[in-house]
Amino acid sequence: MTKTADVVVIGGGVVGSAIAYFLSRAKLKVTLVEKGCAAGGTSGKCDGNVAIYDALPGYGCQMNKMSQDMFPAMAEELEDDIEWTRKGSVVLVENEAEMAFAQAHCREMVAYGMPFRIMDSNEVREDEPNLADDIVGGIEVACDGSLNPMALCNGLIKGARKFGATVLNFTAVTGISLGANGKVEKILTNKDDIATENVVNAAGIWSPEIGEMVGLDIPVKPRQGQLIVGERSLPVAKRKISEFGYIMAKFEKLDYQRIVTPEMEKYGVALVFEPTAALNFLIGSSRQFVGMDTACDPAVLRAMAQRAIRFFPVLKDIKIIRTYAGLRPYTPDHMPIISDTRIPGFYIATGHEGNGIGLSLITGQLITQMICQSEPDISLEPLRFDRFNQDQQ
Amino acid sequence: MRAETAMEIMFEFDGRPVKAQEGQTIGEALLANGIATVRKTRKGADRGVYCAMGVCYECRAIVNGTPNTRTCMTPVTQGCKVMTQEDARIEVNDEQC
Amino acid sequence: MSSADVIVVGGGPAGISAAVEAAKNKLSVVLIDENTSLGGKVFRPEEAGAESDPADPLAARLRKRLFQSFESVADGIRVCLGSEVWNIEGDKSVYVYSAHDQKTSQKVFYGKRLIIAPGAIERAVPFEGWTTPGVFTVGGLNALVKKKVVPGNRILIAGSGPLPLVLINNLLQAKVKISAIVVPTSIKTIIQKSIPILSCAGRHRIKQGFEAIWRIRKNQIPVFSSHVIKNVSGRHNDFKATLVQIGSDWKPMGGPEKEVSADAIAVGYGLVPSVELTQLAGCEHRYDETLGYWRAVRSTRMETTVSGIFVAGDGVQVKGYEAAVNEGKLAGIEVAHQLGKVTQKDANQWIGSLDKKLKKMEAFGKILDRLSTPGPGLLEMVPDTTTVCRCEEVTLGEIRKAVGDGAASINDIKRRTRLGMGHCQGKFCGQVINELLTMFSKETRPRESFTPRIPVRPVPFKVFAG
Repeated sequence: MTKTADVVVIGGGVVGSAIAYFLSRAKLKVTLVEKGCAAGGTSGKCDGNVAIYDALPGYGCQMNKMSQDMFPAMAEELEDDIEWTRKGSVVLVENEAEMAFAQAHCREMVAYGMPFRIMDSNEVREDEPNLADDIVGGIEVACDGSLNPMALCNGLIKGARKFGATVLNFTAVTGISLGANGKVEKILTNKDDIATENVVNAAGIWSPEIGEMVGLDIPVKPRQGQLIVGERSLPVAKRKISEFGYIMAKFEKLDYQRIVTPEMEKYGVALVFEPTAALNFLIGSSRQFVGMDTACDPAVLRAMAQRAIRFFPVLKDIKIIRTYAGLRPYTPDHMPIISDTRIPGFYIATGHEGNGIGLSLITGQLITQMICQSEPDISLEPLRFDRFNQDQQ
Repeated sequence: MRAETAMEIMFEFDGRPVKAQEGQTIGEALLANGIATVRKTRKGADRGVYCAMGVCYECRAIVNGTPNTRTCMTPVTQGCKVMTQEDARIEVNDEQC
Repeated sequence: MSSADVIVVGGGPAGISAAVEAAKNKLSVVLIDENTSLGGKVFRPEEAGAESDPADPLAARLRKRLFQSFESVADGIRVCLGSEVWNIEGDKSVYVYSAHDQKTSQKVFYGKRLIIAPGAIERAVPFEGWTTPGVFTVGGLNALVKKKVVPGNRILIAGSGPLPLVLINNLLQAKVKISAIVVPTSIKTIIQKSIPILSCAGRHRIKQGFEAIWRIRKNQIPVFSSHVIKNVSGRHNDFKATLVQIGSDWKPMGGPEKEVSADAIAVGYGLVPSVELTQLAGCEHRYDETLGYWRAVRSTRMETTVSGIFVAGDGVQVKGYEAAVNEGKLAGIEVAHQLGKVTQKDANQWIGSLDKKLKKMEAFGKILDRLSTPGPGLLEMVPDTTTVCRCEEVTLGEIRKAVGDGAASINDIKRRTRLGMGHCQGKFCGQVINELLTMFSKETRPRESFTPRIPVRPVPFKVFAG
């Protein structure tokens, strides 16, 4: 039997869920198709970052901030608790050489209206007493927040259902058929087909497979990040912490060198610390291209543990209870793809790399505006798919 | 039955002196003294030894300043300081180390 | 970083036996155990020298013999006590953490062959009040009693399998009052299912069984057959347990509830193999419907699907200590053969004679499991307020809600509720979560287990940091 929908959203991760929510709230008939269970992919193997500390100055930070500012209202709107808190984050500056870069970065961000502020060594230590003695200061990003990503994903899906969306688990897309005029006509799955004129590819690291079904080459690659879960113990830090080197590692900027071991460089290791609502904490992070591998490598974990202890020596005797790895949907310019394509009715919403959680809401909003042909909240130019020149077929 | 030859040890639980025998684990010594609760969960529920073999992690307490120490697997030592662990708020002061 | 020919994980009957066999054949051996002495759960050091009046004479005899063999080859075995394995890699490297060893708290051992003998854990089914301190597993209370620690004067024992009988014997020997014995099956069923045991259990076990029954009668201990504990209220030294009568499907029959007072309570439903090490090592596992648990797939020579990794004893199939000793020996012989110390001919001969012994014990083990596996009715009587995941305090009601909200797999339930995310990483709640998912979703899903991850046991950051 063929089902019908106004829009089919492929992918039940945080981005697909947000799109399904916003579209169905706008009264479109939405079917969300997920090959496993909601948040079974990257959205179930990440941390709960809703932050701008790691955004690039300019469009990047403006988009991130716009999305971030949507969370307080969404936390109220969703029925279940997504554990949203907004305590701000601190980016640690390791030494004087970094401080010069940090100050310049700070100035740039402030010029864009972002609440960045330099903290000197006394301030940063008063803020976080467990910090290593030699940290020279930090950047406080007052607006940053944190939540439970799986609760967000499931909450958005529950909300979408309430607005009339259909959610199909264990339903994998096997093909997309186009009509005579090259428009989207039907989504083929391992269960029922769904007739529709609009489909949004929100399949994260599997977006390229979906793109292939319509002859589009989507340049998303899985970029693995490993995470360490710490036990509930003595408090380590009270809010989200990262290191300035994180921003450099993420954007592959090598204007300066961190003082790290060769392994830390090799695995793209930089400290990220996140206290959770459950009272334990998450430690990240690494960056490697290892294909679709979500196994953890003790060598990478070793570098991550060393880096974490460097900043918070008290971690030495606190226990690790689990590790896991997620695959970020990376694009060559670190910007997501939120775009229509040369195929009428085929939209792409993927490539959020390590900011999927934080950018989920703006993505839902923008895709809805795109499909409903209303004015987008922010320019869509930097997010266009054809910026990769992959569109020539 | 073997003759009792174990040496007596004194240790502390929540600041109170407790008698134990050398060779016992902290969990065993506390139970021998009628003490079954060594931890309070985040939601305030009492917990203590359950599996007595180190796999359930229910018997965790603060031992000599180290939280989350399994009392069923840790040998009791002379003068060791054991504190009830409150998961909602784990704190250690200098006296406990 | 240390290398050895053979690394044995687990120093119980199977592990010691394997280490001894390997060392006898001039292989270098590392034997790792998390406890402060060797012997596992059954061959405990406090029982050494207790042959004059042992609760289990066969165990005492085997123990003595095994430790004597161990002494004769002890020079060739490096023993690491108080050491927990937290990672096993495909290249057979074993990562070890020793909390109490100040000198070298973390080590990595490289072995040409690995023999994993982790033993079993209790099969636990939640009931209201099971998390109250003073409620133990049957094996747990038994371990305490063997160390001469009895947490109270009136003990209530409930459950199935062979362990309650062992505990009863030990308590009676310690002259402790047993408030009641609660068994889920009828006496008739027990007798029916036990008859096959007579042919394969061996005289000593039959004698043990009859002795226990005689003692129970003599001490006039109340026995409630076809009953289970429905809930426990009160606290340690002041418990009130409510018992209900159940049918053959373990569902309540609706008769009057009975109340029993106790100082401490022990409940358990048999044993299940510890599979987290073999799972992490990448060995294939299957769920054995007859036995009611996950187990590593292995050859007749004890080798798992990962070449060079062997598994022996209760850690792969629960058959008791006698089988464990023999399986450990078999694994040791095969490893010695693979490493060129024993000829094919000799290996075949020695393994052949062990195989015969093991076949008898296999049958015994299967019967024990059939006697202990709980029926579905047991979970159905659990109220929504009952904690299912002890570590993260997730109740049955929260699991029901998660499935109602759309959770369609055990990992989906885990993500929504935190079930399985605590220190024990799902060792107990993982035993019932598939059944609960089926119960609430009314759909049959393929049975799953949680993804094995490093560290197998919690270890401090400094251990990861190396």
